[in-house]
Amino acid sequence: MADEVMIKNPTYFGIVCPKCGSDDWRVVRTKGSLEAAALNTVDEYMITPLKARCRACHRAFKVVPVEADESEVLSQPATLVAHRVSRITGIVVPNYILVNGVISDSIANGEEIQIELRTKHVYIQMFDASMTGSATFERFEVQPGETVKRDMRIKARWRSF
Amino acid sequence: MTSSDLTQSQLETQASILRLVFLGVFIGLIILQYYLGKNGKSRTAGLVGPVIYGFLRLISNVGGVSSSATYFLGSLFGSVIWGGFLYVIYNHNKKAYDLKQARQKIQLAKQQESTKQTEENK
Ligand SMILES: [Zn+2]
Repeated sequence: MADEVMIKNPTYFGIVCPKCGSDDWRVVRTKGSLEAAALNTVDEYMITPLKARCRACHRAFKVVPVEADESEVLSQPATLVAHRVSRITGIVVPNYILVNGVISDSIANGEEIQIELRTKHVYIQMFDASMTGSATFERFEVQPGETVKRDMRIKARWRSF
Repeated sequence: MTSSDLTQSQLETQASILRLVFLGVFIGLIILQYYLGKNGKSRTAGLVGPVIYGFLRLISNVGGVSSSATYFLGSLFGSVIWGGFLYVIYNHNKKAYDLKQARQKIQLAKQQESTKQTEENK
């Protein structure tokens, strides 16, 4: 991998579209992120540039998570309880959950997993096994020590643009 | 009952029923594959496989005409495609398994580090 960068607390907070400055954009392709996820160490995450698209002006661009500011890092980690809604669609293949630009874990059909959140502003998105079909996407804020629960659903294709 | 006992119209009815059954089965398979392998690669394989397999079976084995060569080729091709489809499913699950293993290792290292630290603090 050409761009091997390890960071402690990755975040997408503060990254805006290079064309119009909007922060309403989404990751549309996660090529290479699964291979990177396997190289994570105890306290550091391997990050990869991913393809994103602005929802306001439709501009496509590369997005790389940055190291979170001190004010952005939570004093006590929060917990995300992600539940993949049980469906016949993709029942035999795993899905993946992207948190702040890093693939956190795989999730089987109907499974519920816990993910540690270290930053105040959180970006979560679920991808199917081929890592191209985007599903549930959300940006939200968490408080230190908080536990948030989210239901993740797989969608046929990304078609909001 | 041999085929000579049947009239031409009976044969035709039988053939068209068989054709419909085959068609139903293969359309069912296509839909099933589409939903089971909901992702780029296996979805394409899942669509192409049964279509060609079903088409070859349809033209070779139904309506009184049976060509063993076409049937054989159809079966072979179908098996290869289905095998490929199963391999894609296996591969996806293996990747997820590997990631889980890697994460478990990280978790374990984290725990060991924290216990070491608490011991040092004592
Ligand atoms: Zn824009």
